[in-house]
Amino acid sequence: MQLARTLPVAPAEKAACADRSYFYDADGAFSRRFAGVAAAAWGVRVERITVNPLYRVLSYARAGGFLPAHVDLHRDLGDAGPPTTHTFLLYLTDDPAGGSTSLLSVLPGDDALAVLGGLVDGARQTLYAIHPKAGRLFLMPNACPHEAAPVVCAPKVLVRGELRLVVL
Amino acid sequence: MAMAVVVGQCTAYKPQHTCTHCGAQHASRSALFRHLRAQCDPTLNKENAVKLAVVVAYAGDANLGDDDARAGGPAATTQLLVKAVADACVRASGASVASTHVAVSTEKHAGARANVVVVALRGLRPDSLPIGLHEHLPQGLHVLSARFLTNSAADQALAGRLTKRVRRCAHVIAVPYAAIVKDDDESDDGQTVFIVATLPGGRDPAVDEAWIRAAPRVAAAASPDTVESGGEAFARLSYGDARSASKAVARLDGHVSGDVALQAMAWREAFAKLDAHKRLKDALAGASRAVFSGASILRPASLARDDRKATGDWRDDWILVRVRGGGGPVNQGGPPRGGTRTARLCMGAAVAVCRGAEGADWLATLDSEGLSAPAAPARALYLEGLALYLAKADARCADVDEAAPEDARRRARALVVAGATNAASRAAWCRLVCVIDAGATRKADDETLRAAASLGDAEAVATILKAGRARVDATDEYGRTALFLAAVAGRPVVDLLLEAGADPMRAAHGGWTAQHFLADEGARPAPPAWRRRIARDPPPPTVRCPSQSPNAIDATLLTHTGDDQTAERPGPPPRRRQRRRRRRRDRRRGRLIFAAGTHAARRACGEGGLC
Repeated sequence: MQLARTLPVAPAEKAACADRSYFYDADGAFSRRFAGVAAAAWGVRVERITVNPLYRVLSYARAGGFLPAHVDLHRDLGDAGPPTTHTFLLYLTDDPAGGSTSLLSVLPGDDALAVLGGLVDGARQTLYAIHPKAGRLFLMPNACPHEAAPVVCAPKVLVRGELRLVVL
Repeated sequence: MAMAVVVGQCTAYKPQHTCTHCGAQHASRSALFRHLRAQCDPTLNKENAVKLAVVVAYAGDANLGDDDARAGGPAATTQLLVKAVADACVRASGASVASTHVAVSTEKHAGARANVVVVALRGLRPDSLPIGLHEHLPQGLHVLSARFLTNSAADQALAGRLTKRVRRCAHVIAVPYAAIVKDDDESDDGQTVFIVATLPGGRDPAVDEAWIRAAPRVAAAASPDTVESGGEAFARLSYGDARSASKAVARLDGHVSGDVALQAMAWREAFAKLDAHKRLKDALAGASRAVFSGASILRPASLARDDRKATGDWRDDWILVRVRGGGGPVNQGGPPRGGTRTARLCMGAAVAVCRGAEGADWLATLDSEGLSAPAAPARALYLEGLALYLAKADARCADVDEAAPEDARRRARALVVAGATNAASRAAWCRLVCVIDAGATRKADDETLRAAASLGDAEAVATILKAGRARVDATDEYGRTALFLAAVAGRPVVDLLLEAGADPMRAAHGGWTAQHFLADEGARPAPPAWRRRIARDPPPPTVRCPSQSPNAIDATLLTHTGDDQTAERPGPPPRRRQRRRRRRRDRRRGRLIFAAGTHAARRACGEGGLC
């Protein structure tokens, strides 16, 4: 998985804290690996997992870059199946002091805004906080509110993707 | 490998140049011509051949007589046009044609191909000036100006400029006001009237304030309470109530006095039009200085007055925009500069901006990213040509043509407007505005093409390609072209896209190209370097037991995903050694953490080691 570092970085298109580059896994080399790892971790058959071949590489070039609380959209994989259920982050850099991804508690009213990726304002309880560590793969459900804390050791680079876990 | 060709000197062959008049043999071609000019054919002398520069307006509808040759494309049409002009010269003057030269040849689809033809005439009688040239031209061709080029230094320079590909040629696009007017002012009381006096071809500066003030009286309309003259043949009339104002509009609009026609409309309407004019002007000024000449925007011309009343909302107000023709680097990548294609794209872009489909700042990206608006209709593009240039260059053209320079200019403008305001052009502009209002841009077309290619919808791909707006090699944010998507999905539409000129070697982000998925096993290009480094696929993972007792956090998360992991039927407990081996392998691969935690994940990070 460390080889994901060699991915070419496409020009950034959006003005945001994180530079985004886009990569399409044309022959499924990465998708097979991610599916295999997720299947092994969850203890489910790999056939139940479909990985979206569209990846984004997020790079927080400067210290202090963060992302406010949000939920991820369920993406359609274009195969007439259900949309994605989980988001995964593969960290490519270390940041033991900051840059953590936190899973947050849910507030009433979130459901209505979730379609747009938004959340209601209000204080949330941090349930988990995961610091970036090169090679660490973090899987979370799309619909769980989460945020990215300000980066301390820049740059923070991660690969973001989605997968679908078919519910039996 | 470079090859050198050595041509040996040929001594055995001596070409013979024979005079067709006297049969004398000459050793070289120049010797033969020296002989001809001196003895047998004095008309070959330069001073005996007279060059006539004819500026022709060609609106694309002219009957040139040979439909087959016209179908042969712009080059064939140009030949027919030159032939028609030369024949007309011969018939008008009785001289013979020594040579012809096309000075300006516009791009295809413009509706106008060539508009300056230089004809060298021999044996011209002094009394046979081709004044009646237009009578001998086929219908649809108009002589805007014709003048002899003498042997003076100035004329020689002019001839030199003409016989090169003249860069000063201009494409003229007529943009209807209605295309960009957005009338959303509801506050006007309708008591104010705008009047403007026009001549065919434009406003007349000779119309003064006194004329404007007298206009209501002459037109037998009610006298306004106040008249505010703008000083440039327009005025603002204020009436006491909206009813008498609308009556005055009905009286004044279309009233003709001498050559001057009055145009009257409600102030609100005029304001919307002037606002649209300003917005278009600003949009064009922001678009590109390289493309638009300084005096690009001409005044609105009102010629098709009857048409206005017939069609109602599609008004007869047009802005003529002159766009520099040709020139600039071609086929060097990047957006095109100059030429009809650029003109059409810029006009489409400007209209898109005026109608709010694109932001004004988007025009600033034209140079770097190309245009993503629909192109203006080809039929709205006409060539004004060099009438202005010739008239400016030398007033002596009045010597050979009765038309004064100002008149020639006016007629050229009238031709442009007449051509652009015909039913076909108007319909094309209507369509353009409709698609812009419906949100269509070039970018949207690109996306539609990619989607259709990805789905393998051959019919849709063919339709989009035929429409001609979508760029076949446009990429999405992942660097994927339509061909790439079709190739990855294994769709047969790749043939259509390849025919349309799609590049199979264009790499998406990451280095994959369409050729990787199109070619046979042996002919495939090497995969990207990073892919070769991870060439071995991992072994298929084995099934594992899920977590037996999710803690409170897991339960929260699971509630939100609706992911019923706890409902997963647990398999038989694996043996201890197997479990240990898997744990070791997981550690080798990298630590795994996931929200719906398992024992393995938690141990991988140590107890409570998630933060």
